Amino acid sequence: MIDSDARVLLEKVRVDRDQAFEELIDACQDRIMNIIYRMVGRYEEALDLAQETFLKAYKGLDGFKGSSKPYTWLYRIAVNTVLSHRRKASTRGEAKIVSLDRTSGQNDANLGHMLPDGSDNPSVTAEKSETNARVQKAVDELEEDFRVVVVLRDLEGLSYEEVAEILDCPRGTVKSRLHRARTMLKEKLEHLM
Amino acid sequence: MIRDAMKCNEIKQHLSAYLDAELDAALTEDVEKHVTGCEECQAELEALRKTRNLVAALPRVSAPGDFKRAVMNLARSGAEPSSTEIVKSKAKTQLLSMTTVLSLAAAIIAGLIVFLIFTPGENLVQEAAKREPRSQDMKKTPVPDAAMDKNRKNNTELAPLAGIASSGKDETTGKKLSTEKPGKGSGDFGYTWSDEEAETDPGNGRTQKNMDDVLESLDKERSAAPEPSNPAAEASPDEQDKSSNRKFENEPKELARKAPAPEKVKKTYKSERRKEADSPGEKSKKLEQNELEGTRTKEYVVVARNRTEAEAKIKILKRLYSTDEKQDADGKDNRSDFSELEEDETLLIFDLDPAELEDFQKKIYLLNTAAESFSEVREKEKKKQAPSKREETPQKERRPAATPEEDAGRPEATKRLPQDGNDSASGRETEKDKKESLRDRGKGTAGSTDSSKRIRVQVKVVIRNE
Repeated sequence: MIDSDARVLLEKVRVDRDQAFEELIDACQDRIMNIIYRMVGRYEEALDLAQETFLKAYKGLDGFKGSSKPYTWLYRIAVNTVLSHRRKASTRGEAKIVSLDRTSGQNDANLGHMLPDGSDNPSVTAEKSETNARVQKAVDELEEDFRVVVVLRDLEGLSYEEVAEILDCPRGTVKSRLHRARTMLKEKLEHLM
Repeated sequence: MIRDAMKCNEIKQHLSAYLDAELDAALTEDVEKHVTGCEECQAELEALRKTRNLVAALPRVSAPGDFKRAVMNLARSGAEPSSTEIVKSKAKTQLLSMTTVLSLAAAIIAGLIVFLIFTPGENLVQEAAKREPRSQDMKKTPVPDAAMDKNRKNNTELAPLAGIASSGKDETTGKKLSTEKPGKGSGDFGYTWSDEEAETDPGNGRTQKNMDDVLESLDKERSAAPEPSNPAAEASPDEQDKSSNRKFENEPKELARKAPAPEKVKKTYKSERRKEADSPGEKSKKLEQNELEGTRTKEYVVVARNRTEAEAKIKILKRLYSTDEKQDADGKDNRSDFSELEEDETLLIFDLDPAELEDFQKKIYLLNTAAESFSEVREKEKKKQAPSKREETPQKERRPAATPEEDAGRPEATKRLPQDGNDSASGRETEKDKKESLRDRGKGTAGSTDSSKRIRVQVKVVIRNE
């Protein structure tokens, strides 16, 4: 069964491949960028991986049959790209990357690409930034399998079904991983509650 | 009680899914019933909710504005997805290389500065400022021979500026380099090729005369060299060869480092004259060393700012080294006509033994560097002292002020005013004497050298500003 969004995309691809792909980028680039950033923790690295994700998608566009939503398809490519990148880094013996962006509570607020949160109060902003830094640090400390479900579910709001599809695993696995991940995060973030 | 505990543990496994509304209706009802009556599970559920909200509250990032364009450009160019990583790796490698080069350059410059400052008795800039007559004044009045000799002597003291000086020690390698006594010899290159001289017809004797001065200086230096003290000459042929190569192995590299970044040579000797660039000075670069038919061949480049300068420099080398026994092994005479040169044509070919090669390298080095160094020193001196000097000598005949066009690219160097006639020839060795002297020296320093150790030297010319 072809997803309705996927059908539209396939139709556009048939008419003008590049134009269709540009529209797909417009629709998904921020979401892809966001989940990659939250998984790797460094903006520049996330940018490279997001670019690589879209390049893979462009090359694999002809193989997209519409069995899943376009963004789910893109998420899967993105997650696989990140995991593959991490595995290579691990194989090369590189230390786990700890984002310099997050060593200070100010950093999230300093990122020029952050969306505005509507708060003009500096103290509130600083407090929020500090909290965000701690939360992100806790997320970073999760193992890869747990981190990815947290990012996809809690940050992107995907359903368990979608997460399971992206990760190519049973729904029950997503449920149990998410529960364990949240339990670990709860312990790490107890002081913030 | 135990049953309640089991129930709590079971329910807790579903709390996350309950929060997300991902439980089926029956399980949702079970959880709601349990949580309503269990404070512990209520607290747990609340903690999980806060945890989820904290994560969900993390700010979102967005892609930069040109992200789509960049991706589409790469996609249309057929770039492979992994190429982004490759590009990054290359960039890192290039950055590393550039960092290394910059570090090396900084170290060399620092070393050169230390060398110039701490060379005993030779604070070069200051001494040059004290004793060098300014080129402007030299233009005004004829310079007597005595003054020229003095000038030449002073230039000898400036020789360390050229890097291999008569102090005999390479500051970079710390190795003993020169076989000559300090203060004498190889540094005596008091001549600077000015544009004015270069533009003069070589036939009128001016360029030839100044070239003769350089020859004289070379001969003087050569005759002053204590040949037996040459450790390379006393060594066995093999050691001698190695020693010679070792000593000067770094020299061309050092030279290349010290020289400014080489400009792209637009044309070679045959090219038409173009407007001189405003940056005076010469560069030298050893292009390559290779093995050719069992004979080691080394290629050297004489860099000149213009054709006349190149011609004069080549003539100097030719007169010094192109003796009968140093003729081209192919039977072809070394070049004497410079008007029809081909691109990258080798102008001089001769064979030298290692000791001679050592001397030759010094000559090339000094020819290509000394004038520039002097030029820089005197330009500073000129800027510093020119106004007061004019006031002191108002009665002297002055040359008309040069137009800006004439001044462009003109090196303010130790330019001896060309003299009418051929007075500089007095006291100078004849051509034959020079050749014999050179031959004798070769025998003295490397007479026992096996001819198979001789090195083929090829000299080319690069006109820098044409």
